Amino acid sequence: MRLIDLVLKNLLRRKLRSTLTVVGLAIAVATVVTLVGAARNLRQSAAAAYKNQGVDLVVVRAGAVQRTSSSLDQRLARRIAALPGVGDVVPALTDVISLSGSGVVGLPVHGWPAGSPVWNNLKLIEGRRLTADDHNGVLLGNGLAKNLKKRVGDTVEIELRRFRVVGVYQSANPFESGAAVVLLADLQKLMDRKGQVSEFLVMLAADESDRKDAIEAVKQQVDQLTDDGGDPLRLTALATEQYVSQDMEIQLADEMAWGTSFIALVIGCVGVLNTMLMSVMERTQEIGVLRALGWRKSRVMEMILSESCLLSLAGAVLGTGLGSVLVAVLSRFTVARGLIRGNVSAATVLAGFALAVVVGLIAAIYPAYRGANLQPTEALRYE
Amino acid sequence: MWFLTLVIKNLFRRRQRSLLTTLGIALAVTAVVSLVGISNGFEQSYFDLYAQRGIDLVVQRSGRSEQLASGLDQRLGERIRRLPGVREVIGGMVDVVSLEEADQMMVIVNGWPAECPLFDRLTFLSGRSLTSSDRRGVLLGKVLAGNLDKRVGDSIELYGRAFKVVGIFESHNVYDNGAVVMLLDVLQKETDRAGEVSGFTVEAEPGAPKQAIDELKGRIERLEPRLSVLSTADFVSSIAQIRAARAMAWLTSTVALVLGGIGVLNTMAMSVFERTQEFGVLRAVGWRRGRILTMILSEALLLALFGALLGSVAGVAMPLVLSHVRSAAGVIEGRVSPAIVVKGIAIALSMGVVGAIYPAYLAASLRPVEAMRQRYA
Repeated sequence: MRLIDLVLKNLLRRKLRSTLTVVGLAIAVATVVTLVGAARNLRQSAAAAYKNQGVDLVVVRAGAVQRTSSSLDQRLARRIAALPGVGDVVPALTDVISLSGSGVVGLPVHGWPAGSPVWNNLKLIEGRRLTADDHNGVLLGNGLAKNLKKRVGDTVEIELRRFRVVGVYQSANPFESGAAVVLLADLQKLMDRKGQVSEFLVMLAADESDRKDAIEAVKQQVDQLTDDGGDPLRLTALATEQYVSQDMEIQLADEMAWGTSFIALVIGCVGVLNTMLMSVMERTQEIGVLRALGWRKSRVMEMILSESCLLSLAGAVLGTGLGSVLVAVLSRFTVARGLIRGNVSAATVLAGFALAVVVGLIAAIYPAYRGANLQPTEALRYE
Repeated sequence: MWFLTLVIKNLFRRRQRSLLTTLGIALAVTAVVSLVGISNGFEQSYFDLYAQRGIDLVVQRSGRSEQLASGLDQRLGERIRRLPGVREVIGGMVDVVSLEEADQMMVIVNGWPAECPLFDRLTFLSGRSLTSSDRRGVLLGKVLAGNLDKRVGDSIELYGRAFKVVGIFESHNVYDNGAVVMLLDVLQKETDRAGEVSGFTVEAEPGAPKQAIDELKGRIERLEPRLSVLSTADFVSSIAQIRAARAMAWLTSTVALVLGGIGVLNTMAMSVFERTQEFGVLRAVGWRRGRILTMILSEALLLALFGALLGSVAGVAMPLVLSHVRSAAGVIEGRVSPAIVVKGIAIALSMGVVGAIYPAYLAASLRPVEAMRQRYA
């Protein structure tokens, strides 16, 4: 009999116990996959939403941690545009609103000036883009349009003002498909923030090849901009990923995900430890016989560690499945749809597997040590 | 032999297993008590923050889900003040900044109008309050000053500009103690939001009955469309960060409890299998099914009770320890209310019962003759 057969038989001998241990660990892994996966998705989608618009750098007020609370004078766009290496600068205002009565909370609304290049990157599936004459017109993302059951020509009420749906654009990214876009001037008026924007979207003139250096160069220049009196303007330019990682909500989501996962994994670890320890104690006599027959300590250890690893792997498989189903289900709810995508990335699954195996190994160290260090004669005599 | 003695002996026969099961439950209870405790503490501190200042209503821009994004015209304050039944209106601005070099990721910056009564409610540990001429001066909360290692006279960089620390204050509230206070118009200028405030806090005439406050709420709402007027309690529970903290607390607790329940189930099921012969003998000497059932359930309950006690102690201790940790001190209040501890214990006990039902049923439904013959292998 090969070692692996023995290991399998040992686990199957106590089916209920093995199953329960696997289920416990699976729940812990499912927590990791679901929450960490969702937090990672959130970050990636947020960064991708900027990249899809062709944005290389985002300029915000230095030290601002919440996207919508950064506030800048729109006229600074000209200063940034004048910097060498900068292609286009789009002053943009983003705010988050709730649409009463529709179940849509935390709806991001972007305000972009008519004629700026960011419009070109929207893939319209219905209607057309906004032009300077489209006062009180709005473009809806396909996800939002579906949620609200709105089409071109319908009206949407945003902050008590009626907006006409001029077009619907398509995106696979929840940050885009769940958002609405209006003209900058309209949004500024609506929010009482005349002449103010929350960020400048910067597109570089450089080619793909030396973009990285160009980003660095522009960043430094933006940091050093001063006003007419020579005082620093206190702007900071961030690459899209960096900007997104700094966002308070995304950091909170990350911390929440890891915090919950950690607790789940620790409790799962205690469960595996309990099972393995009981299993070793039950088999004291058996291990005594194996040792008396000439098994080395290391082989006993290997057997117990393999058993635990196998349990954890089973837990990881089940947990990943469970987590994927959960994510798929969650992404169907209206409230979460804007934030969670229905797929789990390979990296998250890998993290779940790795953590499960690590937990299994850690939990088995003590039982394996106990098993390996039994005195054969004592163990044989044990009742 | 007393029944209880038997139950305890049964648990002691497998010391390590009982200990580890207890530990599993304890971890789950710790998670529940400390997380729910911290999130409730969040809410309570926020509530106190407003209640202590005598604030009855909070006026903000409607429809916003993010507290900080909301902006209102400062001049609205005068119109609210002229309404009957209003004692005091203060327009303030709140911003959040990160001071990365000091490892402070979220520091609240309050902008208060000069000479407003909010300043009078602070207790100064050193230095003095801000006056309208302190254009480049700030006040620091006690905890923040400690974390940043700043004293009166030191300078602190905010919004890329150097500010002088004019005073260090203490407040009963953890949020205040971790915050920066500067003059409203200075903060407006620094954030490029001239004439704008995050919201107004409204104090009604002292002793006003609830009905009068409700009427006042209606009057303010009629002043302008798109205003949200909330009572202090409603306002606090509407804050997005508080909702997130609450959601996380319950999510983690649920996961922890399910895992703890599975642990109890596993342990009790194993314990029942091991003792099949024993149950056969007990049944044969006249024990009723009910008694066996009670024995197994008592064993599980006892495990759960120990877990609950251990977990409660750890759960109460954790926020207390965290509240002394540098970066968390401004946000976490060390107190956990007894109600939450009771809740944690109740949940642990139900976890024990739920985990033991199936094993107890298995044990009780064994047939004496067959059970005695069976060998557990």
